[in-house]
Amino acid sequence: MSTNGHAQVLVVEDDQDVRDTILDLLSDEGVPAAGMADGASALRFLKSAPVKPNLILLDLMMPGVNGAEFRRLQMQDPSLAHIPVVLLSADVTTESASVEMRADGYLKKPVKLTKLLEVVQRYGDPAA
Amino acid sequence: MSPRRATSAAALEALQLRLAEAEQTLGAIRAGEVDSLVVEGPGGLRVYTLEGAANSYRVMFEAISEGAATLTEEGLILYCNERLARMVDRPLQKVMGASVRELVAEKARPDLDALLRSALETDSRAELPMLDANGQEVPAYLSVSCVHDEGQRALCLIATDLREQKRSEAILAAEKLARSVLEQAAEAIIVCDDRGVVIRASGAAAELCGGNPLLRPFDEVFPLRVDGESVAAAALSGRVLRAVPATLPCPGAPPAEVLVSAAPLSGSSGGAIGCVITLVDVTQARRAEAALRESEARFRALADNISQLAWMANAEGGLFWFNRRWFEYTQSSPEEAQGWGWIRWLHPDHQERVASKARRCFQSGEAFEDTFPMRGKDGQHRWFLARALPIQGEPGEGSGKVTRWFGTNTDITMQREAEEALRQAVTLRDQFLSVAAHELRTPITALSLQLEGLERMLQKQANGDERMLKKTQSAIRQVDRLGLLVEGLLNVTRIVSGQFELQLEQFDLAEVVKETLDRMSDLAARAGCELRMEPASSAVGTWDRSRLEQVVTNLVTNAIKYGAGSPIDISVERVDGAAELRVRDRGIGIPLPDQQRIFERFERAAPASHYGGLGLGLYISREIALAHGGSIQVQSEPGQGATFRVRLPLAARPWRRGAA
Repeated sequence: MSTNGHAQVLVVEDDQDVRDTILDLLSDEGVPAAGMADGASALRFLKSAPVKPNLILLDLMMPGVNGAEFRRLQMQDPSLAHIPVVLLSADVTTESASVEMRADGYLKKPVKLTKLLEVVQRYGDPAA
Repeated sequence: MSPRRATSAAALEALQLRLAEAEQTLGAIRAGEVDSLVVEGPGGLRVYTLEGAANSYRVMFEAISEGAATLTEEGLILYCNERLARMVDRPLQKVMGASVRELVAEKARPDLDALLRSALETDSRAELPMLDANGQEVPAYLSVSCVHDEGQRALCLIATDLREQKRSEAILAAEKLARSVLEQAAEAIIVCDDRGVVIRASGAAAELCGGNPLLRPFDEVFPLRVDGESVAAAALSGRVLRAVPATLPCPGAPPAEVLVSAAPLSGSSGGAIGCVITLVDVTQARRAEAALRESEARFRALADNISQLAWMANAEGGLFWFNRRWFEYTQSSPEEAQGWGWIRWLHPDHQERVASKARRCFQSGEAFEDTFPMRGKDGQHRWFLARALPIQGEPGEGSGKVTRWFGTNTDITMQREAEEALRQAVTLRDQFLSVAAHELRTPITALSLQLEGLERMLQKQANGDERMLKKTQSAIRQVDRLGLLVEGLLNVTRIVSGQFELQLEQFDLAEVVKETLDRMSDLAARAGCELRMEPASSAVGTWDRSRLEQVVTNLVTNAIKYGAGSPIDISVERVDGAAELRVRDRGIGIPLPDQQRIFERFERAAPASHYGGLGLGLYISREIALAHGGSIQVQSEPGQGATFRVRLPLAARPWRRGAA
């Protein structure tokens, strides 16, 4: 597991409580993670990050650039397109959206911690 | 005198002598002075002895009322009596010496020959028509016997005149016919003599008076009066009555309504020798008419007092009758509305559609039903539900043929408004539930993750606080339940709004059931329920995994809820190209009347005051089963637990509510 301070997981989630909780838990597990409240700031963060995260946990319903829009822009950027995206949403269409957006997976809210960690484990550490 | 003339004179004299001799002989025979006769024939002299030479026989021979004759074997009449000559209306002299064949109709002569032949053997009889001098046939009965006398054979003929008998027979037949007419006639037919006494009466007449009317005065038996006069007296005085209505008092019963006809019977002298009276009982018909009038009046009263607009149409669909309410609502006149005029009171957008539908129904005879707005007297339109049923003809003539239509238009404006309001309310509620569920999930996610993080932290701590871990785990369970409740609400709204799509994949249902049961084992254990999964054969099919997990969860949750403290049996089996999941509890059971209801939204058999829950689990389970092309059923008796069976085709045949 890389410990050079670069975020391995980017959490894009507009609800602060959910975002902070996930960051908190990942931190407890020793996974460096960053959180962004919407798609626009997430894109800015990714573009400026010298080391790209291994996984993006993406909410769908967000103000401004929403999940789908973010994914579209991310895939257009060759430097970002390769980063796996797993949807994390309370939306009823999460399953179908995951297919449409060519996401790498999806988690439905409320999500169990074990499931969340499994996903992070799978994508979050390329060495694993 | 020349010798030739002398010879002729001698011959004439001889002939005259012989004629005189013959006449003398005949006279002697008739007078009974001769017993036997010698006749010179081709075979020489033959002696004929007259049977019964005694004078008394001769007298009897003449006196009997039958015709009698003696004949030669060949049928030559040797002697006959006056009666026989009268029968054939010929002079006696011309009969005697003639052949009997001349006295019989030509067509019957072969029969006569046969009769004579057979008489030589034995006494013979036959009914044969004789022939009188005018060629008229005389029906007669001929009886022929053979008499032998000193080697000579002769025939004795007795002819009975049947004319009288035939006449009597005809009279008897006519009488018999008259009697049977009287017996069979439905009308009371009474014949009276010139004093008005009943001398003949039909069976119906006896029935009408309730006794035997014969030989009683008509007025006493049938105390009827027409224009204040006795019927019999009127007829005897020459008056003719035709179907005059009258009331006949009947002792011990309501009076009968009758139609009286009467006519005098005229004798040969022209005066009335009696009369014939006919009574037709029309009481039943009158009562039926009265009943019909009453029923008609009742129908009018009913039709005019109902709140619906009522109408009737003829077989072709032209309206011809409307109730009072129709006119009150439309303010139309009967002339304006009749036929197809009523269509003008429908909203213009509906006129063509309703008219063509009505025409179709009127043609095919199928019941008509439609809803449309109708203009009232205030110019405003209100919605009506119109229904019309064909009325078929009475059995018999035109049986089964539609003779008219009866229809009603019911004002359903309020109902429609209420339904619309309800629909809107339901849509709003479903929208609210959807939004609420979505909004609730977010904080539940945070809470659930926090609690699980805490649990993980406590588990990692060496010498961790057991009590705190247990409390944390309890909190996690409650959050999980909260999550399930929210999930249920969201599922309902998805099902209702049609956003219910199956994610199909192939898997073993038994595996999914086992995994789900594992997850629920804690919950079950806490309720004192042992989850017993029967060693399952695998049931691999193509279904939506997470939906079926939900079904198992819902059914087992219910089993735990209503059957706490008892084991729960779960099995998965393959049955006829389908998989069957069975969940059996030993709980409170479900009464039969509730067994369908429990699968509906927000329905529950157990009282909410005793058992919590939103009443969605079975509804969602049923919808999931249906969406797979499967079914769900329950078998239960109160107090005996319940068994739920979910049947799923191995290859799901996705089905969407509302899909055609």
